[in-house]
Amino acid sequence: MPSARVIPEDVLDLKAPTKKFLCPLTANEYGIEFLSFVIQDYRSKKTIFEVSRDRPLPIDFSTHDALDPDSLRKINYELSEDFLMLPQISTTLVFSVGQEPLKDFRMIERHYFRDRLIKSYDFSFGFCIPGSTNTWEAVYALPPMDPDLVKDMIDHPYETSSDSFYFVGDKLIMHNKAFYKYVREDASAQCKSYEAKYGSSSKGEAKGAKNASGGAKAEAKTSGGGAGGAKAEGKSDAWSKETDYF
Amino acid sequence: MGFLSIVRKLREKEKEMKLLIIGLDNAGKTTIIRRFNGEPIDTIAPTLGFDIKTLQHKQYTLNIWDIGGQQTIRTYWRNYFEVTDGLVWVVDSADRWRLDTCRDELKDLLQEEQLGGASLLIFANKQDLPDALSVDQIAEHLDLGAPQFKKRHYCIKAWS
Repeated sequence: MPSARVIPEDVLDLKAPTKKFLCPLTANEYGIEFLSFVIQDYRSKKTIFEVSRDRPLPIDFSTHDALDPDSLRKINYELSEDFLMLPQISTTLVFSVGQEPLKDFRMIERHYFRDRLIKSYDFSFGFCIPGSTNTWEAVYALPPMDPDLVKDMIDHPYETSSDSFYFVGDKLIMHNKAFYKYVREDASAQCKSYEAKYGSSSKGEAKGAKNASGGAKAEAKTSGGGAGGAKAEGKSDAWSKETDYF
Repeated sequence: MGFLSIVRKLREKEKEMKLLIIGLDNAGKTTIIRRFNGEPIDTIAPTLGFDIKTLQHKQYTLNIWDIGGQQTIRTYWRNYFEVTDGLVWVVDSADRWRLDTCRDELKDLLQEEQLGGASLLIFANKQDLPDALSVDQIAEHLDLGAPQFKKRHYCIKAWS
């Protein structure tokens, strides 16, 4: 664990996934819990991905190490390739906070393919009311990606990854890692893989997540394809072209 | 920080807008936003915190902040006033018992310095309910003729 304090500017400078976690698990002394994360095709409102207490992710025992507490903050996502192709995506994150008010709560998320930065998100939630349950939905269009990059990402499962950093003020309180696998859709199939999985049900919703028991813990949170925060980063990003689908 | 980076920051700001949707609990704030977004409105629970929507279109970003209206939460509203471009006040037109509270909360809100530059849109919501007051009646109850509103860019609309 690095002894130097990590501030937002530090992680905004990162150009590759970190080798280690930049804060201990115990840094989350604010009782922040992620209750659900849903990705939808914004236009059809079809759910592409959902993780919540009602719908926990299966544990992959081939990589899960019960003795390694850090495995709690690593998560593997399996997403339809449509995530990379759809013109408009919505991501919805629901989280609750403990009995302390949170000031300047901020998320910075860096997305990579191997050691190449492809997207960065930076969103400030600001203040969070003590004991509150909060929802953040981001609707955004991914600019057309380089088809070779898309092919590479699909061909090499889990080599696309992200680091999510959560700050309260300048203090890093959570760091999570996610690894992504993109699954090809079968063109001859009657429906998309995610339609079979999630049906036409609407968003997971805080309500269901809040009252349900068991299931996914804090690790079920890391926002997937990037939450479309207010300040998607400029030039060097493969996804940030001036034109998009609109 | 160089001059250019300051200019760049300012320009980034202009491409971002923040709408704050606020009002007493059960006024229908979350429902209005969901409908605006074409989302189902059959399972909406009280907002016990915030419900933010970030809509990105090209390089423009609209952040809609819907803050819960329960009494215990109202004391925290002021934490969300910063850099608000537009304020939407939602009124339950059929909640006659609480119109005085509604008026007082709105008055207090508009005295906040941080909201000084924000345009105000008032939705007289739930006009479809049989015992709803009309827009004119709501405007009167909220005292929109008061000097406080003279300098404010505001508008009141019927909604259901």
